[in-house]
Amino acid sequence: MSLVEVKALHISFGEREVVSDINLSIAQGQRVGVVGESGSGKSLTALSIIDLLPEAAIQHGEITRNLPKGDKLRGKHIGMVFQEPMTTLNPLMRVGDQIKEALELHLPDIDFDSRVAELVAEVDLPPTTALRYPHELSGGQRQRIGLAIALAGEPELLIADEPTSALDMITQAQIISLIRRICDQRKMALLFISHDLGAVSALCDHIHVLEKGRQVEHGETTAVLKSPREDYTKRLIAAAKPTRRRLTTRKIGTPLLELTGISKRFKLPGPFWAKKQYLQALDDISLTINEAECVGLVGPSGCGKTTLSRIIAGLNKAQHGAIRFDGQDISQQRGQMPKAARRELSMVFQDPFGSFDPRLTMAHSLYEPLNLMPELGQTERRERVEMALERVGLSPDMLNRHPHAFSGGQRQRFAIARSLVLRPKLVVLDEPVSALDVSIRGDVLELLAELREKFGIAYLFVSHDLDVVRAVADRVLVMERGRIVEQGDVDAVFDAPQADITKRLLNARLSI
Amino acid sequence: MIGFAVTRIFGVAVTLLVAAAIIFLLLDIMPGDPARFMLGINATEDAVAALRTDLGLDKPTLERFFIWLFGLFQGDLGISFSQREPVTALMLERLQVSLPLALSALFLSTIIGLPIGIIAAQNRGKFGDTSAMILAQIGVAIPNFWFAMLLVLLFAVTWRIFPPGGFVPWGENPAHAARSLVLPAIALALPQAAILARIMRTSLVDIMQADFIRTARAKGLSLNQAVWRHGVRNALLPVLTIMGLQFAFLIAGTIIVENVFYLPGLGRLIFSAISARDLIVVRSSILVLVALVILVMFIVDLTYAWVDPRIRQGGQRDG
Repeated sequence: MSLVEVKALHISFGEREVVSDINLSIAQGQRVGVVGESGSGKSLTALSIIDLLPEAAIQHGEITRNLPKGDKLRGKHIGMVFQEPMTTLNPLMRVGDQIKEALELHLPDIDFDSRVAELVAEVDLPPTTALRYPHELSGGQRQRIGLAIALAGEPELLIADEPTSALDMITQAQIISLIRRICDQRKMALLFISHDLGAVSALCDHIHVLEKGRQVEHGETTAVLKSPREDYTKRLIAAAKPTRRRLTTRKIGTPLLELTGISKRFKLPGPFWAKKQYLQALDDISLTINEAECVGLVGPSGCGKTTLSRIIAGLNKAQHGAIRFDGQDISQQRGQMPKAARRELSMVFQDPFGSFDPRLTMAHSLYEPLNLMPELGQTERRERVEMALERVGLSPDMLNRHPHAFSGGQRQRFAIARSLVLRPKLVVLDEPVSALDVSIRGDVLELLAELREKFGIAYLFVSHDLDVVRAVADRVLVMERGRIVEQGDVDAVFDAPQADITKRLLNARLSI
Repeated sequence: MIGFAVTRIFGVAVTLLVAAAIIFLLLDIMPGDPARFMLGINATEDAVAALRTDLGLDKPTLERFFIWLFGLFQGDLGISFSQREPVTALMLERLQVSLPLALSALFLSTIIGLPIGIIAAQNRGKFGDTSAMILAQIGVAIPNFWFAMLLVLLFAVTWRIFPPGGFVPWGENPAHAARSLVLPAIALALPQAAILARIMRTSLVDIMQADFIRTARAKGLSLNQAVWRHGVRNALLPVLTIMGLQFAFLIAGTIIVENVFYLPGLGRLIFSAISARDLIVVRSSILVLVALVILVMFIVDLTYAWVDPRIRQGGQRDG
């Protein structure tokens, strides 16, 4: 008999139906995965099982839970962990107390403190962690605490809603193996929800594929992955293995950007009389990017990738070292980067939702960079913007709308168009596809490759996703603790990694 | 926590010193001769010269500043020109009224405003919320002197429970003194309570959308338990700032209510000092007010740190 049986589940908000006719069952100790993109209804399905749907949601259908009656369902029989480790814990409360709170609700007769210690140990954290506040922990540590809270009531079913999506690859792999181990030890069933086919297939015996609130396909994981029946599933699988894109006619040119001995440190907060403490974000970084070359930059979170890309884009300043761009030394300038360099160097950010001012029209956001070129007339400006839009496959009549009118993929196209209006020679791409659903990732990567081929734009491609980097980059730089620890041809590095961190990053990949 | 407090105390000291210098200079660089200004246009040259010597205006600015500052450290705020009394004594007398009045008004507005805000947030969009917010809107819109007059009409004229005005010093009759502050405190508290209720509601409504409230519910807490155990404390942070600002207003901005109830408070002292061109009292009262506000903000900062571990540990609040 199955633990939870969902039959013909429909969820709607007013007139809008967001989940239609979902059927799934979870047996005792079984690990079931639900894969889908944003808006596929996967989280709402999970929330309906644990009875936590938002008030405005109307639910139809049948959810049978073969769990002891009379007790509390949430926390006691079903535990749940969520996606955002940064915000899922109360910032004002010690994490141990947050675990204890769950124990007090469900197991009032035990010795709370020793049980908290056991739970903290079960999720592989040192005992002192219980006394910490959430902001003192890393994302992975917080997610482990979230797991300990979910486990406190000894649930028969654990629901994990994108628990690893906000974590870096190495941490993701650790959390996934932790979840697997705990499920085995406790003989606990798992409902694992993710947009990442790799993560789901690493954990689950059975998967359900959801698209726009509908169940597209389900079955044994191996069977679905090996011989998918539906187009949508095939596209998901294909997107998880990005196609290789290299220059065909164009050749990689002469050095465009040269960094020598770049160092940057940040002052850590502390009382003013104490000895100043610093975080060495970048330590003696030297690198070269050639014309029309795509250089990948990978590393675990906190390794300095973002700081480095911001320094190259001129958003931060380095304390030491020299930057030459297009034959000109741009590091000796006081204050801002010279206009000429700013025109030829632009940046695309990870979050297509946060990188547009919601109150400005797209036209406003796209014309703004052209203020760096006051010599251009009205017609030329319009030509430039329209050409940039055309290159990314958008039409000019979309310009008068605001960012909220567009999907994530469209916004990222706008972001790329914005970076192109100045016709730059180098674009810094900071995780340009991580926030996008896998099925549109392919389109954006294709677009980037095409622009490189046609216009000879060079890229610095920052990503935590090694498969994507291998698909698009010619060369790769591996960073760890502010240093470049390995670099070279992308195939050479990934086939025969030398540095320990490269090996660990490669091992953490969840391939399907 | 101690490190945080010491850093802040240092900041408070520097702010106070800068504030004292600015207040001193402001009145000093004003065009015209202070002595002549204080005496009026009909004063004789001899009288003006005498007052200048009296005030020490013939000494250089810097020296006068340090004399004044030195006096401040000894609790000497100078002699009032219009009342011929030490300003320190005058102010202490007035603070006996203003300080308890402000504190009780703040206390009242907190115990009225916060629960209303919390109830409104919990019943968001429902009857309780709408009626609480309509009340709050009325409370914000109606001027407090009108409230004051209504209160006098009801409680002093019709029912004769509280005195309609006036003040007997604490030393003479503490019970009577307390009674004469009740109505003014209520009149001052209601509009502030309305503001607090609105801020508390908005803040708590925001917090209730937070992921950690969902975590708390998934843990097994009911919505109410999650709100009380996890929501309210987080929602209090922005409310604290507003309360600090309100206290600053309550200590000196109460002149109209003081007038309605005929209370000898700080507001009226400053008002009459300005009318009498008594620059010494004006300067000292402004400094005392600034000091009080800075002190209150310091207390708010400490409370913040006590509530929020992220601030305690010297970082910036990111929430």
